Amino acid sequence: MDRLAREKTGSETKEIPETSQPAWFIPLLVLLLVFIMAARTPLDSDMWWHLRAGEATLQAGSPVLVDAFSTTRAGATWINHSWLAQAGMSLTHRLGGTIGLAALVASLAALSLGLVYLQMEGPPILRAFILVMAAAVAAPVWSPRPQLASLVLFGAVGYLLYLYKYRRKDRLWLLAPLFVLWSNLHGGYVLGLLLVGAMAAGETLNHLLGFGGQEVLSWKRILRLVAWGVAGALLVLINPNGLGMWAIPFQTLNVGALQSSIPEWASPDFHQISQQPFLWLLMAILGTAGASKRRMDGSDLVGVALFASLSFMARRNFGPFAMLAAPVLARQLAPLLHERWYEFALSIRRIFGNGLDHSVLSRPIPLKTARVINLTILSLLAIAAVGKLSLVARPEFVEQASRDLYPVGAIGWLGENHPSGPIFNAYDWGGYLLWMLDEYPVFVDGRTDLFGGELLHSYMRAAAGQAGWEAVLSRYTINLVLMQASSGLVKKLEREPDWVKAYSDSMAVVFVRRQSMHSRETFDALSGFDLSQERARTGRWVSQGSRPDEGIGLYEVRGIDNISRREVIDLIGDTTDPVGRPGGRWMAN
Amino acid sequence: MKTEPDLKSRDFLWFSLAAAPILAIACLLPVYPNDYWWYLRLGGEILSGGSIPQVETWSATQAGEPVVYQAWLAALVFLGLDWAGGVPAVVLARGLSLGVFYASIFLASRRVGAGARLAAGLVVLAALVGSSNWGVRPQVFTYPLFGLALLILVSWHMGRYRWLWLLPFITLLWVNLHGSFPLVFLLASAALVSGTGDRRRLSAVLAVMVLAALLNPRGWGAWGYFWQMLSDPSVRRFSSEWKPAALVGWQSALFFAWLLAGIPLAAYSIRRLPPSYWLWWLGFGWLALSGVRNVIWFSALLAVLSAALLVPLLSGKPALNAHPTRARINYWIGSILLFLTFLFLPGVRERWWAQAPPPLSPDTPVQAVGWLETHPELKGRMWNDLTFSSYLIYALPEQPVWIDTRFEVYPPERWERYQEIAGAGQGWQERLVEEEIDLVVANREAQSALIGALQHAPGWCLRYEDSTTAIFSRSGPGSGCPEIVVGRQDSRLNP
Repeated sequence: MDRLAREKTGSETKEIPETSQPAWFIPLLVLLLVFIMAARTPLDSDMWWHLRAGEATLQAGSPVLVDAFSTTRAGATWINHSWLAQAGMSLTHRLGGTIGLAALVASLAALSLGLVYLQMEGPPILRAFILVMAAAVAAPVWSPRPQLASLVLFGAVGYLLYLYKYRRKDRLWLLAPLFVLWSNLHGGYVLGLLLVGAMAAGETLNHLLGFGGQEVLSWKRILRLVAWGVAGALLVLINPNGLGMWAIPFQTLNVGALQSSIPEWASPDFHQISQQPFLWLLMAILGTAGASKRRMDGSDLVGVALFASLSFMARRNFGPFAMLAAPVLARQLAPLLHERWYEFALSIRRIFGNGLDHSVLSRPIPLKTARVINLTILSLLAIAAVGKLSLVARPEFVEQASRDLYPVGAIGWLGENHPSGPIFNAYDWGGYLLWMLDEYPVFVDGRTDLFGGELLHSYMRAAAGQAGWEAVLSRYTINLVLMQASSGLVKKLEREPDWVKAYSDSMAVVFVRRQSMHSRETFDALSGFDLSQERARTGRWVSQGSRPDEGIGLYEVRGIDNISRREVIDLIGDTTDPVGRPGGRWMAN
Repeated sequence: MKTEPDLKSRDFLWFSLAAAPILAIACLLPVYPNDYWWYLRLGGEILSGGSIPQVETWSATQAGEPVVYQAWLAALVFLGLDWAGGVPAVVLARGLSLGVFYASIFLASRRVGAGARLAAGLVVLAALVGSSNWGVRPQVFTYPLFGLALLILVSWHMGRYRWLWLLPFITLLWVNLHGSFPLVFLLASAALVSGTGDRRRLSAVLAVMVLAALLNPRGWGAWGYFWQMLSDPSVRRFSSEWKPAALVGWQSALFFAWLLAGIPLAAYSIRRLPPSYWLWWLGFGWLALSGVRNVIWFSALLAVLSAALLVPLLSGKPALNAHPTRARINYWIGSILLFLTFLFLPGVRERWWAQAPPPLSPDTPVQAVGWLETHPELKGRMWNDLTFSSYLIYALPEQPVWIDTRFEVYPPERWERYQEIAGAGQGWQERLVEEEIDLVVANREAQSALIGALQHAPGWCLRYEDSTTAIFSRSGPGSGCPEIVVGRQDSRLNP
């Protein structure tokens, strides 16, 4: 039974059945569609380090609060705001593998929008349409990360506020457990506080502008809301990080490097079609605000302005904006469409007159038949959802997709040859490297709040091969570099005699510092490397190989007649013994 | 003596108060080298050849390829202004264009009911938001056309059709001045679809506008040019002015704040605007968010729409002020204010201002190009900085450029290669060899890495340098480098 129909009757008890459609059909249909939309290959550059941290948490039985995954921040306090979500992700991965992770993402996306649906007004078909629009806006942020938990909790807080304001049901006490849970799942709890604050500010605005009506909260109820907001802000301290949790939003915001270089922190790029739904939703709100006879509520106004501003600053805020804006749009659009649709229907009737067989068009489908049809449609969609999930998230598909995103070959080479670290790695690959190889603490990964602006700037300068890159590598005694083949640093290192290109493919390149090649393993690894590039570069006919004999390195340098020993040493970077072990010797060919 | 209320003189005074700082800034802003200079050369070639060039001849890299100059008339206007008075005349023309543009916005705001003070305030706001688009380029001539079209269509909504016949003439001028002429159709067709004026009249005018838009050297091809520019990969990827507006700096913050302010204005104003106004808002808002070069159009619309929505919120008293004003004094004060702005014109300001800013932007390589002209022996193929390209095309016509600000002329691969060389990326030397480059005209600010690399690279000699430019040439085998000439970049010099 539709709420609008009830309101039109002017009575809560007198209900006019508008449709033979069961009330649950449209919401289920649209949420299944959202599930299908969100069922994707579970890959994200941050997912891997979350999984790794989750595994560590599960193994230790307590949250990881000190960095043990990087060389640059090793031993530093890590405000691990997502420890609970990480443990959940790891557990899901253990139990359900990649399909389990994909199912988790799709379920949470559907759940978050389900909570939004509950806050919307108007006919189900309108709500469904707006929800799909909101889904298109939020879709870019649906990925296997704790951020998704923030979206669900954002929806939950929004729903509690909706009940409080529009249904006059005070369930604000639930904010307390929600914020405690939130601060253990993700640092995005601040979004919930902003939502509460926006409503308090909006209601104050309503009073200041002299707007009345049942939906406007009284001062007493505003104070109550503020009190629960303050309680929420205090309760987020109930987490293993303690007071550090309050610092998280500021730490993240202060990392200026984020906005310039990390896409999700950048302002929207409306050249990309995937980012345009945000604009459509915003413009739809503006258009309906201008056209609708229903005055926009102060809470809606402040909320939309606040979250639209946040979205203009960083596109990662698209999700919260969509979830807030969808109910606002529904509230504005429902009365407008009702009025306009009525006019439209009248004009159609005027044009076609008796040409329409109204008796056929308006004849209701028997309830039983409708139910069978509905269940069939939902069942087919459910099958499609499961089918898509099993298709896009099966391990071999994930592995294949990983090859397009991550340096699978290079990391395989590292795993086989174990050259000495520390490693300087690409930011986007830090998480994957952590997940795949325990032995290499990363230089940097997606934990931007841990690394801070200064280190990230150093990383970016070095990664781009800008002035001072050598100093960055020296400062952290980097012996190994894993970077994108197209990066500026790779181009610089190719020209550096101190560095040897030990592995390369179309995606990634591994460089090894010559001085670090004292271990037999590294040298052995290098021996398998085609030195034709070196030959071409140096103009010398040099090749080398190794025959490790029970700890004794035997190295041949062909063409020794034409090249001095000094040059050979320069080339492979040693003084007396290429492997630093007794027994190593030079042999002329 | 009792005087009658005189809104016209008060309007003039308020507009003058708003326009005076705008015009003063327009006079003070230097001429940036990005596009202006090559339009002068284009104008010269059109005049001398009697036709618009259709084949690329200015660059070494795209020579012989077809090229389209939709803004041919603007090129001739620039040339005429240059002949008439050089850079000061061009700056004056920009000031006048902007003056007409903002006067149209003021009048349109007044037309929708705003008081003179509100209209003046909104004009200032629009100027602050749109001032990054005030460069001396063909677009600047289209701003008054847009403003007038907006004013005419706002008037049409209110049943005033007196100036409707001007729209085809505006279209005719616009299509020959700049490729952005479809914007006038966007304005008019939105009005036709959902405006409140006489649609029959507007339909007829729109039909004539379509015909007027055909009166250009390329006929229907002008429409194709518009779409080509919107979708051209080089333009979209490499031209900063075509990039989406990002929330960086005070100007964009002001823009976004005004954009979002549209929601409360729409929500709380008791006035309901015609849907056509919202279509304008949505269409031009989308354009502005898609490319910063479109912000200026949207700022005009924002001013007029804000005026319309704010009127009922702000009007505590009737629009007509009951207090009489002295019309003559108002006109005098306003005129003096506007006249004073001309004192900031280049060529005038130097007479009373010892530290007057130069008319040309410091990154116009006047001295360096002058030095190159005196060294005809440096004739090899040249690699040049993008910013310098326009001036090089103009001042050194015998030396083809490697790349220039006509983004659509060069394929994306060329731009990628440009970035590689400009940043001294991997293989820059090989790239210069492949391109057979013998001469590098680099920008000290934009290409510091390249300049540093060239200084240490064997086979290259630094021949000339000043505060903005460094010129390198290849040295012959075994020969040393001649002495470096240190120039004094002084853009006060009028080329």
